Amino acid sequence: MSEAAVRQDESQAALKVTQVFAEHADFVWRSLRRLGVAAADVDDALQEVFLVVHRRIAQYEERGLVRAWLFSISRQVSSHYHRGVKRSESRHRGLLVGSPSDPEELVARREAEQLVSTFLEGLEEPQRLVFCLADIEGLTAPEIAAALDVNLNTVYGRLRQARKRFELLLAERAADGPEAT
Amino acid sequence: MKPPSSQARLILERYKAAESLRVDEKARLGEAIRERALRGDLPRFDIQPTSPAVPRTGWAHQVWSSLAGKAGLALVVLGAGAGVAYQLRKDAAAPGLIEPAPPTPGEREVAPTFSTEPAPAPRAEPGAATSNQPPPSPPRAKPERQLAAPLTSASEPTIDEEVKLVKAAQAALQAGDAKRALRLLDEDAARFPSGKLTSVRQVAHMTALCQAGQREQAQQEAASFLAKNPSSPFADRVKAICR
Repeated sequence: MSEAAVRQDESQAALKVTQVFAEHADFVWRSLRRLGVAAADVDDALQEVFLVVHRRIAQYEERGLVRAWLFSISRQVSSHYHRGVKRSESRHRGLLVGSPSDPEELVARREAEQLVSTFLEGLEEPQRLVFCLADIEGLTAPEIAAALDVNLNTVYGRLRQARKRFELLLAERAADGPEAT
Repeated sequence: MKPPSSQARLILERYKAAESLRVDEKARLGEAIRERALRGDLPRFDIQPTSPAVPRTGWAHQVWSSLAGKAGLALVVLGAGAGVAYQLRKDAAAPGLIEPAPPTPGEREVAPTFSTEPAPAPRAEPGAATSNQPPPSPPRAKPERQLAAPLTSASEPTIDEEVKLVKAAQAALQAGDAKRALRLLDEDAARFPSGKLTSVRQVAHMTALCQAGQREQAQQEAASFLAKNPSSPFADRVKAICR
């Protein structure tokens, strides 16, 4: 392939990457966090994920599983970063998104962030990933099975357990006091 | 399965909103990625994802993946009786059989839950279909192992050092200092002969050789790289070296 052709391919790939980024950047960012990448490294890891996307997008076969593909890349990229940082460590970056004029909503988001982060920390990673992909990101069970390379029944089993624990936590909080959300 | 309650959904939606990129941060990161992509920056890690496949079905996969299941299916194939097939299917469809048994505490330490699945059949690497050579080492197992077991203290400095050297070499290349790049890459090769960034280093090395005017050697290295890694994500780039 000539250098000019390579450059053209690269600029087309860059365009596609820009589109994928616009649509799925938040998903990848959260996935990296849930995979244990420290807040300080997430921006760097995010760029790595999309550089891999840029390199590989020509080979990606569209089967409606783009988020599964992105998650699989994020998992591999995350394995190169230091781990063990508390996931609840937060930059509260999203608190200003959406409803800056609604202080009640901001407080509710802050509480939800703390509650869910603590809950996720208490889950084993396999359950945590399935729960996040299903109930936070809205992936379907087949998408999750593809993302994690496990079978559908394993996805259902893990999700059932995690949901049960989350509902239990909410019930406990409600029992603790009326001020709990 | 019971869906999440409305309260759970509300809290999770708020959590998601709180854990999102700010608009200005997203724009900044998007621009950085676009620029790096256009510049032809290589990823630091040699990651070769496969396009995700439609998931395996539960019972068929479970049955086939066990020796007893294979024996059972063989019986069915041999005509040992439709009743056996019916029973096998019925048993396998029971939730207790489908969901993997919870690992014992001991198992969890050494075998991450993701690995309770049998190793998937090797998938054809996209773009490698026409190649006779098998794709390079399978990338799937690595993250699974590391997810359960964080990087060991021994491996962390190694990858950090390797990344530092390769990045310094790439920076030298971009600055037009091919000699310095070659020196750093040779040092990297000597210190990490089978490092994680071997492919990245090799591509940078041939690019540096070309930049330094050593075209013949660069092309020799490129040919050798392509022979060994025909389905590498860097293959197109390597083909364009010195051309």
